[in-house]
Amino acid sequence: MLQHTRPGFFCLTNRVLKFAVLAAGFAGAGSAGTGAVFAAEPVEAPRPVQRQVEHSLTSGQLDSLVLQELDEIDDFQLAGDEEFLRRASFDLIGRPPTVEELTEFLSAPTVDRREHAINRLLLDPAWGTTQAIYWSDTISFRVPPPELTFLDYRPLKKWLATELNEGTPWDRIVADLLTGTGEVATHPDATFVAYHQGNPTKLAAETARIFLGVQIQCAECHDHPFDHWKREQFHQLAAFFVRSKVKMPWNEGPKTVVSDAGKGEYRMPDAMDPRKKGAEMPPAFLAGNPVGTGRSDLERRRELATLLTAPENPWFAKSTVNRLWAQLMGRGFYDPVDDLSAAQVQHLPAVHEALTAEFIRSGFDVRHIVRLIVGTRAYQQSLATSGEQERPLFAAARTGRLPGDAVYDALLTALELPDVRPPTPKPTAAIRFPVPPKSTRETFAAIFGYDPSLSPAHRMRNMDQAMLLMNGKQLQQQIDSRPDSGTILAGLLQEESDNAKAIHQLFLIVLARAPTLAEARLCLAHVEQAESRGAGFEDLLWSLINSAEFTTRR
Amino acid sequence: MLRPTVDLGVTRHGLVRRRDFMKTLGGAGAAAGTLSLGWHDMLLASAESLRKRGKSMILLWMDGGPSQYDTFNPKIGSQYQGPARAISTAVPGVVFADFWPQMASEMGRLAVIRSMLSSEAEHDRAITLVRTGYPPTVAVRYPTFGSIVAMKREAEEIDLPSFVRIGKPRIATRDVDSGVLGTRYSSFNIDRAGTLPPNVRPSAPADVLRRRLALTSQLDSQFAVAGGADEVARKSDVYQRTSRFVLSPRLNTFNLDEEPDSLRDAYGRSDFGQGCLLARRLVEQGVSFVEVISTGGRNDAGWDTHGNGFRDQPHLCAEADSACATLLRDLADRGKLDDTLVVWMGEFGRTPRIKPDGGRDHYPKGWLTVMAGGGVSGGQVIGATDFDGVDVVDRPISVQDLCVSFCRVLGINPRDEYHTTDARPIKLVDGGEVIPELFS
Repeated sequence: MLQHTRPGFFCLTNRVLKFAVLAAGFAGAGSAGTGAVFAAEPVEAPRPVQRQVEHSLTSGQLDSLVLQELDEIDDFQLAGDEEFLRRASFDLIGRPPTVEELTEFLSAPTVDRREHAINRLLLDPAWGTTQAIYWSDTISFRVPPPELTFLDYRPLKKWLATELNEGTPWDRIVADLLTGTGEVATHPDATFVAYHQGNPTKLAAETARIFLGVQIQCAECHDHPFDHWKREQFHQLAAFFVRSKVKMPWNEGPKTVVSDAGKGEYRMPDAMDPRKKGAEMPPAFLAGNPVGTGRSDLERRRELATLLTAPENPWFAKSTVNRLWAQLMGRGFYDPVDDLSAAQVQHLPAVHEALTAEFIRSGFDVRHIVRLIVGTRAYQQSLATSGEQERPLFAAARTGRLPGDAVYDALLTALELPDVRPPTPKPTAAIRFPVPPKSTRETFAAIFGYDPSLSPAHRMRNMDQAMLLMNGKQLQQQIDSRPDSGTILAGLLQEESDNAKAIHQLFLIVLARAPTLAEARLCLAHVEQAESRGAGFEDLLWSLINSAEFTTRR
Repeated sequence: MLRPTVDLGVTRHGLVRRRDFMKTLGGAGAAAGTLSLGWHDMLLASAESLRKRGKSMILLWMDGGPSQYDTFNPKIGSQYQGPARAISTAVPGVVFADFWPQMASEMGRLAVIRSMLSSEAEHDRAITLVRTGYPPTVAVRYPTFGSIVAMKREAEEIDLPSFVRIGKPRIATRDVDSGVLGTRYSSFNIDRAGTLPPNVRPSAPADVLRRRLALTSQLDSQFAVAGGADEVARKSDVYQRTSRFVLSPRLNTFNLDEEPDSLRDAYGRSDFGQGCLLARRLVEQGVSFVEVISTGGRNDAGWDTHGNGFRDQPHLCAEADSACATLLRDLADRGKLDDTLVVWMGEFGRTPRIKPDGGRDHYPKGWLTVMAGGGVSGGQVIGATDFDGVDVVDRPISVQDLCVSFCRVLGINPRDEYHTTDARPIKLVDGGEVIPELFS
């Protein structure tokens, strides 16, 4: 068993005396991990201390656990090396491998080339960016657009990427997101509260859903119909945010700022008569006891962060691990990933529990969990091909449509598609709030984007996506075989006079794999029948970009 | 002016190729004159199938909330009326504000509801309520009504979108979309009538595009066998619909140059006027739901006349008057009015109280909708407000009543359900009753 320690950070002063009570209220709460620490003054700013960290689970052990729970198979059928590298590259750094990366990978010693590749990808700064996009999308997809302004998630993504790349533990990151204050542009950790406009009910619903996998929002109006949540519990959660005040830019100057309203307590609307002044609700975290009223905005939110990220909170680690598993395996232990309620089916429960315990033991180390999962044979499995018998869930790799940023990065890798941003129109008397134009990346991200919380079955393919790939002007300019066009295709045709070899190379560039024999034959026939070599290869490149495989993580 | 389409006719499924059309005509006709078969013949032959396909709806959206006093419920003698005078209409006893002379002469076709009652007085919340039929909530992103129609009317072979929106909403962030129904049923957006959005026009000549599509689907077949069957199936479905659309000879429907100048002038050369003309061309081709947005050419003010009401109302109304009235006449001239429900509305009305410059604030009591066509009985006023227009005194109508009535015209069961992404069943319309006067 692998065990080691590493330095970490732990918000010592934020841990308060609620765990025993809290944990007692949680059905089946695990109590592994760092344990409760008492603090006299819960509002002091967090300070870094040494955190004891253990890694005790291996990818091999994870595989054994998966196999124990899958009666139907004895071992996993591994995907080929090209397939593995493309999959891991998309999952970890959000783009396909370049031809150079692929060549280098295939020439490395067979025995540990995959492990080496995983380590390389996890240390690539794009790893943090890819995770950051996932979490930013998870938040932004459910934020309703505000009046008369446009929300910019770039500072949040940048901040998240830096934190994740530096190995900041996930509990710290989430605590920062819940307690962030000040101006969003300079304090991106204030984004979550700011972009929900400090609305206590929205913040309560989204905090529980995103960070805990708890669907408590129905309890806003009535006790949850098939879970145990009561109306009071929802509104007590909302009470943590009651003093968060947000200025949006439209009438308060150009900045979005989170600050303390300075006073006020939360009132639960009267269910029978909304005109009545509702009952005052003290903040309380789900099954936990109420904490006192009269506290400042930051006191409340720090209290919430402490309770929410506690190792004893049965949902925090479990829901995070569920999302990480879903990102990598194409489906969560729970599906959709934001609903871990008792009514939902949990797949591979022993695996889920082992990973959850490991996440807590590791000091909420996201990269460690990702490394563990990607290192399994379960992750590195092949797809079930159409001829064979249907394989059970997690006994084959799953395909999925690529997220929006990955589609753009795939085009950047394959075609050097430039990222162009049109000039921002100036406000006029007739149009005071012009829509800021999207850059090429943002256009693809928006058109191909999907809400990461939705089940993979809801990642639609639609006509806007198809028209963008079929007819998009900027993209079509990269499908130009004329020697003076300066495109990758033109360069390839000039360097490689042999059609079969050029086809082979084009597959490596666009799909990061060699063509099959059948594909090579098919494409060669097309190129040779075309009115010119250039026209034939333009057809081929267009067809590869528009193939289902190009926009699929396989 | 009418001109023949190249090889398509509309059936209840939306479309047949000319070849299939020949088949439906039968052998005898095919032997002789069918090669010279013109548009008019096809129109006649497909009229029955168009009817089976169901009625269309055009929503004329007065973005920002139009004033009752300056449109179809003037309160002559009230302290709240403002400078707009009354004019008589084609129906004795019914008067409009004098900014609407053309609509006044169409009153015989109109059902004017003067007693709309809702509770939302902020734009985003009111727009959500009026356009989705559901009050705003954080729990569900309800789809806009056009998306619901698009879903219920989805046709396998149609080469045009079922739901088209013309014009830009006043403020982009206040928009409602297909919500939980997903992008499959979202509107196809034309920012300005007469132009097509980017990426619709094929990037290569049609024969090249077809050749490429054939090659890419051969590559897809290879991937399907290698484990990509699900992704390939979803992709092929979308690419079939997309290529039918971008290669459709009916893309010309979006081109207004084919219309005579006199007609274009009658609609008015404003974005809204030309948008109404395009709406007629689209419903003629079997598009189920068209939304045309009126903002008076002022993108972020529109009908939201908090200030400068005396200055802006005549302009906003004049633009809408010629466009709306011409649309009704044009549809009627072409025999399409009975198959097309035309609805004029905004998200709420405006306060009785007037500011010194004629501005009025938001007011969700006693606001207006106007309906025509689609079998709705014209020449009537439904409901009333009091002398000053402050309260509804007769026949309060809810947004849900309105939605249920739309469904009745369109032949859609409002109690049908769809499912959200977390499998929760939702009725097309929850509550509300048909407004019987509309159909008596």
